[in-house]
Amino acid sequence: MNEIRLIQSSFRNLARFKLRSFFMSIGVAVGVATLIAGNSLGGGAAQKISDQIDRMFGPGTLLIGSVELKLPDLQAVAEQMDQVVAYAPRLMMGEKGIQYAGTNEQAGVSGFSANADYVWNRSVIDGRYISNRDVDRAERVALIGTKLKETLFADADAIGEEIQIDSVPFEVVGILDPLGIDPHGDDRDMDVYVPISTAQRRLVNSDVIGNGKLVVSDADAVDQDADQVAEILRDRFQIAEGEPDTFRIYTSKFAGQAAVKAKRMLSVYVMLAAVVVLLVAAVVISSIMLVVVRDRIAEIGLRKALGATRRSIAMQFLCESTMVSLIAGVAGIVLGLGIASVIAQRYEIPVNPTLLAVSLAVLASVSVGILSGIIPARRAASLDPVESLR
Amino acid sequence: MIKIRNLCKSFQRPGEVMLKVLHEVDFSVDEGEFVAIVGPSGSGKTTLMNILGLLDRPDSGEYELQGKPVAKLSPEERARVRNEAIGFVFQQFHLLPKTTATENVELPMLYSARSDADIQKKAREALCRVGLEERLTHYPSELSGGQQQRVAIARAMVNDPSVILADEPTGNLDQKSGRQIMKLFRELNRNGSTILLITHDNAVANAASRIVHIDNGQLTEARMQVAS
Repeated sequence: MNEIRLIQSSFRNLARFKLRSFFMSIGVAVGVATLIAGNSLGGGAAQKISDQIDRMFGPGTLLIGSVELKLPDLQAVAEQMDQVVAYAPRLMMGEKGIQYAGTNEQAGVSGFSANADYVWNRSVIDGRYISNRDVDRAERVALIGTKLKETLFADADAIGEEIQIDSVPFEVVGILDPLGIDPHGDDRDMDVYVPISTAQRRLVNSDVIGNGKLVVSDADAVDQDADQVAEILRDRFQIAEGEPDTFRIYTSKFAGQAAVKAKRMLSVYVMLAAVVVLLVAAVVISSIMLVVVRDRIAEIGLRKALGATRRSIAMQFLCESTMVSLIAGVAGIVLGLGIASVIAQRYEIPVNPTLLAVSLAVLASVSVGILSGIIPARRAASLDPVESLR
Repeated sequence: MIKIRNLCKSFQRPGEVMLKVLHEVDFSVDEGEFVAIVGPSGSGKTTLMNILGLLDRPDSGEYELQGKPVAKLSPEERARVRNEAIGFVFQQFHLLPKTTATENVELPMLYSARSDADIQKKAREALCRVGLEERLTHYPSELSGGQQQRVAIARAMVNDPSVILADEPTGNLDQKSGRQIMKLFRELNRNGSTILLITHDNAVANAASRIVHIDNGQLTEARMQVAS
């Protein structure tokens, strides 16, 4: 039988037994959908993570975290290291109650200095940023994220309005750049930023700041810079030789590596899951095809009597399993893209399916089809026509 | 057309003695003949038909089909000979379910090198010759037993075979349908088809122009009939 007739007759057979064809295709469709969805989202998710790490870190930056860190420590580091171009503290106070006109909301409140829009890489889309004057006078002004603004004010103008943070009144002066959900799962559009001095005096009553960020001149030298910062801090915190650090320093380089690692892990797991599903799918198709062969013993005998060779019988069953798997694979690609775009919309992740993944999916479904067809095809081809026609 | 000499075939089931099904059988069929092989069940007639139809191989002996020895052909070559030179009609019809009459008749031609247009045309012609021009797109489940066997006969002759082998073609039919099927065979024979019929029923065999008896694996020529 020539190829076109083979494909036509496979199609006809699959169409004749729709339920059976459906059961045969489920496994491959799900496996391929996993592969495609995982790939289109995995790339997007990793891209988003590294974008955010870039935004939060930026190239050539060091992040210091310590429960002892105070503003003078940060100043000392900046003074002793010429390569520090800029620095800015951050005081994270965690979730606090925010009130406006009877609405209560929980939001993460942080204290920042006037140059933090540059150092911490986040500015305002409306109103103004924290000024030096705000910091000097410990003004009760606040910047709020877009989502918090929407929750509290809906469509009304928020600038100039008074909100309360832990019952302390603050004037909203700006709306922060939207950032979305960060890799920790925190919604950064619910943030509240206040001047660091105000945070220290009015909200926590402490001179510990906790975090500091440095921008250095040479992005490639951040690791050496980190060593130098560590030396200065150990000295200032009077940590004895041999004692562990009481602070942590993260560099932009380290964060970049973490993002790459996360992406790799994600794609490995998705691939692994897809491979397992596809293997199960192959077993399912194979066993259903064996039943099909047994069901069609008389047909096989007849076809042999009418002139079918062993090869054309084998090809017929191989073609059927390959066809059902390929069709299922194409359906799986469509399904996977559908799932990906729904999830992507929900979590604001870009969808970028790669051509490689799509070709891999097609290749995988064809391989599953051929692989699962081999045993049934051999069994069908080796049937004795005399026995089969009895 | 068909010439066999000294043909032997035996079977051995595990734990049983060797059973000689065919023993030194000599037999020949000329072109245009309508021969019936009559015998009780277990007489070896189906084994003979399987060997004549190249579905089975003899243990020893010679088999010439259209002047060519075919006993020792490879499985692929035998498949090709079956496709080109032999048409089968079975007791159980063996039509593909959920497949139209036309598609069933097209089946043997799918294994030949014919063009699609040729295949469709020949299938339609064959169904018209067996009187089923009104049933081209019917499924077997929508046809009576007699009609199903007509489809099978159309399928057997669609590739213009050298011989049509019919094994108990009326065995699953009522008397009236059976008589119509035999009438159809006679018509085909009159129009030039060589037909070899196998049956246990003498009444059915009487439709043939020559009757051969088979018993215990040996053939005996019964009587010569004047060609009708």
